[in-house]
Amino acid sequence: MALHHHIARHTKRYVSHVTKYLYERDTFFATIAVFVFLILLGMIPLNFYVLNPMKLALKDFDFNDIAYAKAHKNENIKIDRRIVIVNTGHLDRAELGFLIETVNAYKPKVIGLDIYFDGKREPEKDSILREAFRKTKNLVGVSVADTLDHHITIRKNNFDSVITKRGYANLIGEDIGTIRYYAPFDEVDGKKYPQITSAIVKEYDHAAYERLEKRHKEVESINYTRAVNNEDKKKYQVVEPDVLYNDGIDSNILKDKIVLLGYLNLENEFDIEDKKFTPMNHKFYGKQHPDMFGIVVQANIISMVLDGNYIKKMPKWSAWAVAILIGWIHMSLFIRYYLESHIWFHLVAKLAQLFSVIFFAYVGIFVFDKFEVKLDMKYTLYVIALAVDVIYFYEAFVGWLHRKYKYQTIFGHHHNPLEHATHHTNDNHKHETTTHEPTTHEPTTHEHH
Amino acid sequence: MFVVYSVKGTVSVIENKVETKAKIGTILNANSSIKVGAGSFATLLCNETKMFSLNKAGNYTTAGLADSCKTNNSSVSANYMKYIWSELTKSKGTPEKNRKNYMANVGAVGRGDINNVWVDPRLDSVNYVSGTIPLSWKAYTEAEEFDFKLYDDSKTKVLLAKAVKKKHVDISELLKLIQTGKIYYWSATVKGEPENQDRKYLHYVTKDNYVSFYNSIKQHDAAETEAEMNFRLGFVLEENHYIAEAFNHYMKATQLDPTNSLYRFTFMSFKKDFEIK
Repeated sequence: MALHHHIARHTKRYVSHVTKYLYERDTFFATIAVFVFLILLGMIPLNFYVLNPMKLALKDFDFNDIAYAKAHKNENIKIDRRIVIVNTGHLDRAELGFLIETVNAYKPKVIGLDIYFDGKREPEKDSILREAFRKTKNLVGVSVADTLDHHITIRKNNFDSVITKRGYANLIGEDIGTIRYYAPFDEVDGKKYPQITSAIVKEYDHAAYERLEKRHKEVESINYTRAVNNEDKKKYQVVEPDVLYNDGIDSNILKDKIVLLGYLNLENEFDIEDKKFTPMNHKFYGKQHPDMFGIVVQANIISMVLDGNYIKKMPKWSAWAVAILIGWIHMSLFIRYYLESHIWFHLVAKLAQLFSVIFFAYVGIFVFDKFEVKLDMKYTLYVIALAVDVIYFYEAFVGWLHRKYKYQTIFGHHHNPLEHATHHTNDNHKHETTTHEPTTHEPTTHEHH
Repeated sequence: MFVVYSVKGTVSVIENKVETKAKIGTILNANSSIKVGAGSFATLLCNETKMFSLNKAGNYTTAGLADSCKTNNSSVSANYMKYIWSELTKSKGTPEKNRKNYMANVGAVGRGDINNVWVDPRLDSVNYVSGTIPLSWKAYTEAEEFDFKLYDDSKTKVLLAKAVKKKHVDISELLKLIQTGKIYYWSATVKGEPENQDRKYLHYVTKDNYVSFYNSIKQHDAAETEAEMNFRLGFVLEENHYIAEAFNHYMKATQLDPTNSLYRFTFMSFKKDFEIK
C-alpha cells in the first residue's frame, strides 16, 4: 500500500477517535454539565482554597506571565529614549530641591516626581524644596489617593500650593500581588483626576493623552515592555545624581525628554523599598522577590500610552465560546475512550489534559507576543480539567434517568463482560459511584461498536 | 552605533585623535575608540538594544566591539518549547533523598567579598600524589564562564589563570606547573565578578611521604578480606584528603565485592561528590 494511503488511513482513524461521539446527545449534555458544574463552583460564596497551597500559589498566576519569565518576550526591544530615570536614592528634601533644579537646567519637557512628602520636616529644607517646586513649572508631582467607602479622596499636603500639576501614583494590585493594572483616571469630588503617568503624558504628548482619554477605560492592563535590573538589562536610561552634578551626561539625553525622579537601588537586588511584583518577574509562581521599582512601572505605563501599545483583551463571551468548543471536542474524545477502551481512558485523559494545557498556554503566549492580545484561556483549561470527573457524575445521572424514565443513553452498555471484569478489579471505587449494573447489557440505546 | 550608557572612573572617547571625557549619551561612531582606565568601567549600548560592559583597562575600537552586539534571536515560541522540554525532563528529587542538590545556599549572613562560587568543604584541602581528580565547584548563579587561578604557596603569585566553561579543572592539566613536595592554592570566580578571595589548598605530596603514610594505615591487626581492606583504606585516605588514591581503593573494593551495596553506594556517592566522571 502506498505510504500516503497508509498515513491517510491512520490519520482518519485517529481523527475518528475525536469525532465519533462528537454529535451524540450525551456529549452535548456532558459538556453542558461541565459548565453547570463550573458555574456552580463559581457561585459558592466561600473561599474553599483557604488551606489549599496549590490554589493560593496560583491565585496570582497568569499563563501569559510565562511569555516574559521563560519565553523572553520583548528581550530585544529598544531602550526608550523618551524617558530618563534619575535615581533619587535617599536624598533629603533640600538635596532633592537641588536635584530638581539641576535636572531642570537640562531643559526636559516634563519632570515626573514619584515621591510623596508626608508632613513637615526641617523648615530650611522644606523651603528649599518648596522653592524648587515653585520654579519648576514643568514638574508633575504625586498625590496619594485614599479610598474610603468607595470614594477616592486626595490626601492634603503642605506642598499643594506650589505643585500645580499632580496625579496619584496608586497602581492596582492585591497586597504583595502582581501589579497588572492601573486606573488612568479616577473621580475625585466629582471631577476627573489623573494618575501621575496620565498627567505626565498630557504635558509631553497631548495627542497620546487624548487617545488615552477616548478609550474611556476605568482600568487599563499595563503592557510591560522594559525592565531595569542589575543584570545589564536596562531598557531605560538611569542616571545617578552625582553624574548630573559632575556634568557627566550629554545634554541631549535629557533635553525635551520625560525625566522621572524616583527611588531605585540597582546595587542591591534585595532592596525591596517601592519594589513591585510584575509579570516580568523571572519567577512566575510560588515565593519570589519583587522585581521592579515603582518608578520603572510608571515608566512602562508611559511608554505604553505614548506608543498606543495597549493590551487588547479577548471579550468574555469569546473566552466562553472557545471553552465550550474545546470542552466539547475533549468530551467527545474522553467519552470515546470511556466507552470503548476504558482501560486506556485515564491514561489518554491525563495525556490529553497535559498536552492541551501546554498547547493552549502556548497559543495564549503566541497571540500575546504577536498581537498584544490577551486570550483568556482559563475557562478552557478548567473545562478540560473538570471533564473527566464530570463524565462519572454524568454517567450516574443518566443511568438514574434511564432506570426511572427509560432515557436513552450511550452510557447504558459501555462495558462488555470481559472489560467489565477488568474494570471491577482495577477501578472499584469508580464503579461504586456509577450505575452500570442495572443497565449494563440492556439493548436500550443505539449501537456504536 | 554605540552609545555610552554609564561610566565609572576614567573613561574617554577618542575621535579624530581628539580625546574627550566619556559622558552618558556620548555616541561612538565607526571611527571612534573608547579608552578605559585602570579600575574604571563603561557600559555601552549597541543599536539601542544590547548592553555590555568594559571593565578591563585598555583601548577598544568600535569595530572590535561589533561581536558584543549579537542578540539572542530565538523566538518566543522556541523559548517556550525549550522551557517546557526542560521542565518535562527535569530530574525529580527530594531534599531527603539528595540533600546536596538542595544545599546551594550559604545559610548565614555574609560579611566580606560576595562570590557566587561554592567549593565543597571536602575539597578545601587536597593531597595529590598521582592520577587525576577534578578541582570542582558549584555556582549560585547561571554563569557560563569561570576564571580559574592557581597560586603558589604565598597565595598571591598567580601561576595559572584560565577561563573555563566547565565547573572543574582536572589536576592533570596543572601537572606542568606544579612540583612534588610543594603547596599551592587555587580559586574559582564567576567571570566578570570580583576575584574570589577564598583560596583552596593543594599539596603535591612526594611519593616517599605518601608511601610511608600509606604503609602506616595499611597495617591492621583484625582479619579482613581484600575488599574490606580496600574499603577501609579508601575511607582513611579520603579522610586524609588523598582523593585520587581513595577513589582507586573504593573502586577496587566495589570490584572485589560487587554485591556489597555499602561499597557500591559509597563509591557512587564519592564520584558524585567530587564530580568524577
